[in-house]
Parts: sequence; structure tokens; C-alpha cells
Amino acid sequence: MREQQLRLADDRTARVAGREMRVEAVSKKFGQAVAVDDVTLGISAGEFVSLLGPSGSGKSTLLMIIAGFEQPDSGELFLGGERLTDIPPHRRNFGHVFQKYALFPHMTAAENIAFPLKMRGIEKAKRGPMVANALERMRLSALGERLPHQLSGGQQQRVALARAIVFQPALLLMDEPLGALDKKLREEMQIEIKQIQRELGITVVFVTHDQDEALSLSDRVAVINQGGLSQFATPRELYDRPSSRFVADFVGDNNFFPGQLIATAGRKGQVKLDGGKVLAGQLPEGKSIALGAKVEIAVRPEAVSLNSKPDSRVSGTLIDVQFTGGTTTRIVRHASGAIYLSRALSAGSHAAQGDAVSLQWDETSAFIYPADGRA
Amino acid sequence: MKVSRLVQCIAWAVLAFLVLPSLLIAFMSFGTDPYLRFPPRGFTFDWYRLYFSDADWQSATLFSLKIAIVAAVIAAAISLSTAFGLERVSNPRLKESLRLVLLSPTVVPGIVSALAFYKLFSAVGLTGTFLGFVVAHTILATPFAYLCISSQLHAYDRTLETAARGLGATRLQTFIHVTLPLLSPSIVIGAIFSFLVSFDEAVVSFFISDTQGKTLPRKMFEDIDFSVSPVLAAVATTITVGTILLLAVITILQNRMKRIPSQQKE
Ligand SMILES: Nc1ncnc2c1ncn2[C@@H]1O[C@H](COP(=O)(O)OP(=O)(O)O)[C@@H](O)[C@H]1O
Ligand SMILES: [Mg+2]
Repeated sequence: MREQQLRLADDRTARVAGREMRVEAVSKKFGQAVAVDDVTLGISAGEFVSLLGPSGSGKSTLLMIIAGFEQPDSGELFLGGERLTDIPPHRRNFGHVFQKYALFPHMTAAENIAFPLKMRGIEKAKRGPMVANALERMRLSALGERLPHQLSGGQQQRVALARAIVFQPALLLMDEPLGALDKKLREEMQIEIKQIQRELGITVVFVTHDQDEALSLSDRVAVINQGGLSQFATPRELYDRPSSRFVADFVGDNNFFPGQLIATAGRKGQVKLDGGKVLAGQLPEGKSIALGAKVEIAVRPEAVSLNSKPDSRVSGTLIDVQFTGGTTTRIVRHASGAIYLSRALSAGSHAAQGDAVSLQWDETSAFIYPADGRA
Repeated sequence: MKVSRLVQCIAWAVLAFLVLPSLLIAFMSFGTDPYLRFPPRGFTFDWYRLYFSDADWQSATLFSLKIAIVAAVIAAAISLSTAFGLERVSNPRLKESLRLVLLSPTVVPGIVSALAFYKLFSAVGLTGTFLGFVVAHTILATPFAYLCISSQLHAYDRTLETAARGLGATRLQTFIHVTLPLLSPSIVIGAIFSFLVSFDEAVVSFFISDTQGKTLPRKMFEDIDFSVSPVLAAVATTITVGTILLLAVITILQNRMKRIPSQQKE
């Protein structure tokens, strides 16, 4: 049945569900501004990949290139080995969910969902059950005859999602689809999207600037900065082993201690902090940093514990204790004005507000990054 | 309270002042006397019967209708493509200049364009021809159609077209299933306005008519010279009723445009 539907859905289109999507050395400029800078990505079949980056980093442009709405200046796209670069968007057979849903306001929910089927020349009799199915999956069965403006934001979002998957696309592209929803609805939709992706085994490319969303939904996350790919890794790796200062800063909270690299031994480095103290940390994999270079040591707040007897380590004044449900975050101000965080599951340290404290951590959880550069 | 009542009175007075002439004409079209007279005496539909059966009146009316319909369709088509084309012009000065050229027929005094058309058309033999009227009326009507269509195009969300293309629609399918239906109210309104501009147009028509090809307003004007027959009132009243019906259609379409927003809710 499914196979039959697949065949019905227009043989001319690039119907290649379950194949790897490759983005190879893609670049795109708008005038002088580089929007996408030499990005290479391999997205496996059935994988949920997020493009994560700050606003203006080129995520949408990259997605538009994958969709075919923008042509790359250089580089190629492949889907399961088939060259995709010159195939126009309507022949790529990708599903799209746009930030503002882009539902057709003159069509009912059901007509919106039927639209991609109609464009693929599927007869009316066959469309009916497929649309009904999609409506039911999205818990919209009672709302099929409503016009988009008669639906709530969440319902419109579900119609948009149903419309994007009803024709079993080779790839589902979503550009900040939850941006317009409030927090609770957002979380519900995240679960829903993830569930549908698993059920259908569909490959998803999901654009977001929200790191929590990216980490919780994705199999892998591509961190984009100033058009370039900073790191492409699982959420776990991204958090535990950020490959750059940028990723370490952008994904999760981090404490940074600026200094100078004075010695290396294998994967271990010694950094002389600006205050004169010398600390050890892990050097990044596959990249060598010159001795004497300006670097920063990054330590996650969870790895930092507070010692209420100031000693030779980095110290400061405990200025605030924030209880945020599962964890307690302690905020320490260094004499230089820098703010450091320490996070613990339990109540943790007994230090009180105003106390002088020193920060301590295991040197295996301290990572050394070159201070400059976006990569 | 008092002020608002005063305002209301003035408003009604102005309205009466505007509508009264048409009403008087309507009254007079039912009088039995063979000339226009107020107040009318008796009651008859004879003048309407005469209007609808007389070959000359019929041919002038049909001629005007045909011209207005063709001019309206062409004006709407030109306006639609121009509105789309101008959207793409990125240089704001060029865009504004092109817009002004398109809208210029509305600011050129009627008598000036009439003379221009007259000179031009007699040189190329278009006076009194269907083609000549269509050309002149299309030029005069296009600005009105353009204003209707471009204002809706401005509010219309172009990402819907991107969405349609992404969902598998070709450019043509996108135009037919998304662009056209969403813009159709303004296209129809623009066409109706163009139709009215053309049907009502008297000055230019007066100059470019001849004994064979003449529009309804020109025919009415000629008849006033001969006799002030109540059939003129019957014709005028028929035109007024037709215009009111078309304005009602426009109002209905405008309400529909408001009901189905062509832009997405935030
Ligand atoms: N059509 C365009 N014309 C000119 N510049 C553009 C266009 N689209 C995007 N840009 C620029 O390219 C950069 C990346 O934009 P975008 O891909 O939208 O970023 P993001 O989605 O990550 O916020 C931005 O600096 C933006 O201003
Ligand atoms: Mg974006």
C-alpha cells in the first residue's frame, strides 16, 4: 500500500526516501556578505539533524539551499548519490514547515493537506483517505473543514506539519517551526514532532536558535556560526566535547578563564591565567595551538564546586544562590568583575552569600580553546 | 448628542443633494408625457420598452458593453502583471517613476486626452472603431484597476508561493491555485471599476465616435440635441441601477477580503 502510494506520488520527482543527504562545500554570498561559508554535511537516512546557531548565522539560507529556493554560489547537493543541485524545489519532494506556517488562507485545513497530493497528480479518490489519515494522526479530524484563520496557533502548526508529511517526503525541512508558539505548546509540539519522525522514519533538518530544543530533539546537531559549520556532532558530544570556544559558549553554560598557553604534554596543556595562576586543561583534538598563544579555559558549571576556604585557585565572592528546581546555581564574582557559575544537583556547598570562595574542578573537565576565531 | 444630531442632519442633506438628481430622473422616466417633465404625470413603462426595443439604442448599448467588458479584462490583466513586475523593481526611484507613468491618465484632463486620441485615431483610422474605443478606454481605466490590485498584492504574503513551490507546485500551478485565488477579489473589483470607467466615459468617446460607431453616452448626448424624450431618463435610470448592483458586488467582495485575510496571523 505504502509502496503503491510512493509510486503514485509522481515518478519524475526526486523520490528517494531513506537515502543519505549530502551537502558538499556549499557557499552562498549575498552581495559582499557571506551567508553560508563552505559547509559540508552528511545527513543519514532517518536522522533528525538540527541546524543551530545565533540569529543571522546563515541557518535559513542553508535550509533554503537544501530546499532549492536558493542556488549555492558553489558546492553541490546529493541525495543518495543523485545530484540535486539543479533540481527545482517542486521536484525535490521535500516537506517544508515554515516559521509562520504559510498555510493557504483560502483553503480549509483538509484542502491545505491535500494540496501537495493534488500537485502530484494523485486522484481525488486516493487523496481522501490520505488526508483523513494525516488529520487523524495530528488529532485534527474534527477541524478539517476549518479555514486557517479559524484555528489556533498550535492547530495551524499541526496542519502545516500534516501538509508537509502527507506525501511521504524524502526529507522534512523545518525553519524555526515552533518560534511563534508559547512555551507549553512548544514543548508539546517538540514531543509530537519527534514522535512522528520516529514513526515515519523520516529524515528531518530542523533549524533553531534554541539550544535546548536542538539538544533534546536531535540525533545530531550542526552548530553554525557566521555561515560556517563549527561542529557537527551528537548532543552529548557537543556538550561534553565542544570543538571550539564558540560551541563551548553557545551550547550550555560555561565558565571561561582567559590566559596564555605556556606548556603542552600530549593532550594536556598548562595555561597561565591573566592573574598569574597556572592551570591545567585538555587540548582540543586534531588542532594544535602554538605555545604562547592566547587561549581560554572552559569549565562547565556542573564541574565546578565551591570551596569556602579561599586558596591558591581562582577565587571570588559568592554573590547569589539561585534555586532552579532540580539544581542550585551559585554565582561568583571574581575580583576582575568576571562572573562564574557553579551548579550542583543537591544543595551543594554551605557557603553563604557574601562569602569568599574558591572554585575547584577536575582538570579533565577543563578544556583549552584558542581565544580568537569563530571555528 | 446635539452635535451628532446636527452632523447627522447635514450628512442626510448632503446625501439627498447627491442622490436627488438621479431620483428625479428616475421619477421622470415613468411619466406619460412625450418630453421630460417634472413632476411627471401618469405612469408607464413605455420609455423602458422603447429603450430596449429600439435598434439604435440597442446597438449603442451593446457597443458600450462590449467595449467596457474587453477594456476591463485587458486593464485587469495589464494591472496584474504590472503590479507583479513593479514589485520586483529594486530601484525605488525607477519603481516610483514607472508607477507614475501608469497612473498618469488619471491626472491628464479628459479634454486633453480626448484631443490627443482624436488626432491620433483619425490619423490611423481608428475613430469610431471597436478597437479604437478599447484602446482608449483601457488606457483610461488601467490606473484604477492597478490601484486595486497593487494594494492587495502589497498586503499579500509571498511566502505562500514559496510554500506552494516547496509542496510540489510548478510556477503555473502556484499561480493558478494560490496567487490567483488570493488576489481574485481585488482583480474582480479592479475589473468592475475599469468596466464602470469605460461604460461611463463620455468626453473621449465624444471625440472618437463617428456616425457608425458610437457609445451609449455619445448617443444620449446626440439625442438631447433632437428631443428631450423621457427615454433618456429611462436609459439613465437603467445605467444607475446597473451601477448600484456592481457597487454592491464590490462591497460583498471587499467584505470577503476582510474575512479571509491573505496574510497569516502572527
Ligand atoms: N535574500 C537575502 N538578501 C540579502 N541578504 C540576505 C538574504 N537572506 C539572508 N541574508 C543575510 O544572510 C545572513 C544569514 O541570514 P539567515 O540565513 O536568514 O540567518 P539565520 O536564519 O541563521 O538567522 C544574514 O546576514 C542575512 O542578513
Ligand atoms: Mg532564520
